Amino acid sequence: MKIKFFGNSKRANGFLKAFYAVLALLIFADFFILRHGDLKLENIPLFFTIFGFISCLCLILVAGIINFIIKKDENYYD
Amino acid sequence: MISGLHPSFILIAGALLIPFLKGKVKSCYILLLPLLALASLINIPEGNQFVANIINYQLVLGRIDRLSLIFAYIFLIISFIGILFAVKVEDDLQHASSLVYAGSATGVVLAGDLFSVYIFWELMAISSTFLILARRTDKSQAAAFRYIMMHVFGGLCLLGGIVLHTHNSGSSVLGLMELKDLSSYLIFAGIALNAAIFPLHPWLTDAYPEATFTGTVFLSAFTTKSAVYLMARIFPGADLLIILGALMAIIPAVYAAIENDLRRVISFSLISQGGFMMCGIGIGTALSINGAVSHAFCCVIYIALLFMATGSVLNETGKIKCTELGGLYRTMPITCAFCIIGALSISALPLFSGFISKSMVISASAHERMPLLWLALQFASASACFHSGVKVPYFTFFGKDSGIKAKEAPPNMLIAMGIAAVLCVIIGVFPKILYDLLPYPADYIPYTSFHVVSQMQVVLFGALAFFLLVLSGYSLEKPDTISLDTDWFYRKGGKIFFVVMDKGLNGINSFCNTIFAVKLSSVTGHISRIAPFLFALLLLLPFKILKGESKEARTLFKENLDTAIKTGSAPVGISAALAVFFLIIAYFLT
Repeated sequence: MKIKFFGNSKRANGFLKAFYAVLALLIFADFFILRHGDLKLENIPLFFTIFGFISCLCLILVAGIINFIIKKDENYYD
Repeated sequence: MISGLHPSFILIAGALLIPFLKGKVKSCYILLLPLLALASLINIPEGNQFVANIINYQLVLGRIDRLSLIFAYIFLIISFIGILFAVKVEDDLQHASSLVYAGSATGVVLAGDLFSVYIFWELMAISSTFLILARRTDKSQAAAFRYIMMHVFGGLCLLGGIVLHTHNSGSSVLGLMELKDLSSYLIFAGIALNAAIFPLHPWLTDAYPEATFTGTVFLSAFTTKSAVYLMARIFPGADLLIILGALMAIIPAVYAAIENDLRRVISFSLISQGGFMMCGIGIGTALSINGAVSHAFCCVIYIALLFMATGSVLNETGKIKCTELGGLYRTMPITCAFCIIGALSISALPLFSGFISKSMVISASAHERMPLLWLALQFASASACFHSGVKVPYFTFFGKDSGIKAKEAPPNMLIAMGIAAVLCVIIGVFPKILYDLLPYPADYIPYTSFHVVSQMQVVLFGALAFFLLVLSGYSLEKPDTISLDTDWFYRKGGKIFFVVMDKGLNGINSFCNTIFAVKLSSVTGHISRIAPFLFALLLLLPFKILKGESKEARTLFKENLDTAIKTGSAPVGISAALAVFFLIIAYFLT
């Protein structure tokens, strides 16, 4: 896999594997924690995993679209 | 001796001596000032101190209670860290302005009446401007000009509000206010501008990234947080703050995601973090205000840490853009480690400071059954993880190899960053230290399995989205562009206003000049020249016609009359007749 996180792909792969393992652990833990949220949303299983993923994905993609709309040349105000 | 002095006085008066000192003495001296101020603060008893009666007003320079103390503590702690970070910079202007700025910010949070607040408030605006000017580039000069203009405007709003409030209520005591009349709205607007509340925020992202690499550390700590303090002091529970706070948390996050300048990314992030504080103050419960205050405390440290880390990179490489940096973890490993600690703190990962403060505000919104606000804050929290938690360290220290051969930051900068990083971790691991300082008794428990797992899920699955996009080849690097923001209204609007005024006022001026100075004067001159002749002709010609004189004789008569009138040699009778005629006209005209 070609990735440049840490300069070489071996280290990047190691990092990603550890990262995925933590994510798996978090999904696993979700079924054992004592939920004490005040809102109904908080008590939906795996809500936070889906929410975190989708909101970041949306942020990046929406920001990309917004960038096209609001971007101006660097000398715009000069 | 120290206990008798006001901490602001120590910093501001102390700053004036800096130009007279040299070398290590100066370094030790400027490092000592924030520590002396802190020692003095600790020794001041609670209640109103440093009271002066001027005319009919009581100036209270030291109102010491739990709310003012916690802000004063963090201001003095970060002053020390900031000075330590900047101690090797050989620029007296910066050192002096930093200390005056720190002193006036401390003055704002310790002041017990509105006029003292205003004095320190303006001093803060002026001294901070020098930290932007001190970069000494064309861009920084222009940004500093816009910065001070905005703060003068905000200061005038505040002053107008204070004067109206004092006039109406007869009291200048700094205390709770309801948002109901002009004076309260003016005070609110003045504070909101400094707090960088949407849409009054663009001065921050315009100016901070143009300041010196050490100056930004101070800038990021004082102006916005002293405004947070005043909001918490004057307008807790104001519903308007909830809406504005939510917008403030979300909108800058989008800008931070597309910004290329790393210090501008952190500036947007700073505003977004302020949104959490405004929401906390707006909710107005003991838990939410505690959350807002503790978040301000933590935010000062980790934002300063991020600015120090990126500032060190800027200082070592001369570059600060995502597109120009990368791979610096090899050459600047310690700075990289500190930057990651700052990034983890702002992402609110458990064991780091952001977690124990941000979760208080989010929990308060859930507790008060505000699901929309809760979702907005969770979204802002997830996006902070992306734009500051991942983007800043990734593009600076990892990502592509930029090939820049940078040196590690000097020891004083590393120690400054180290202190901030240690504070981030200590507060994260032992939240009770901070909770004991909060204005209301805090029985909040951040470390429940539910809080820990849910927060880690939001942050790490957010990071997963980032990594998957990078792996899929989606380019997150945006070239150098300007993102339109609400500053368009005064940057472009200002130019349009100037052109309109220029064309409008100068147009009226030249129109009036043509009409009155050129045309009207020549017309009146002409009329006054020919009027006597015309009137004389009008009087005499009927007699000539009645006498039956020929046309030639009448033409000759006209020419003679014209000459006689012009030279003043007309017969006495004609002159007398003209005089009588003009008198009759004058009689009817008056």
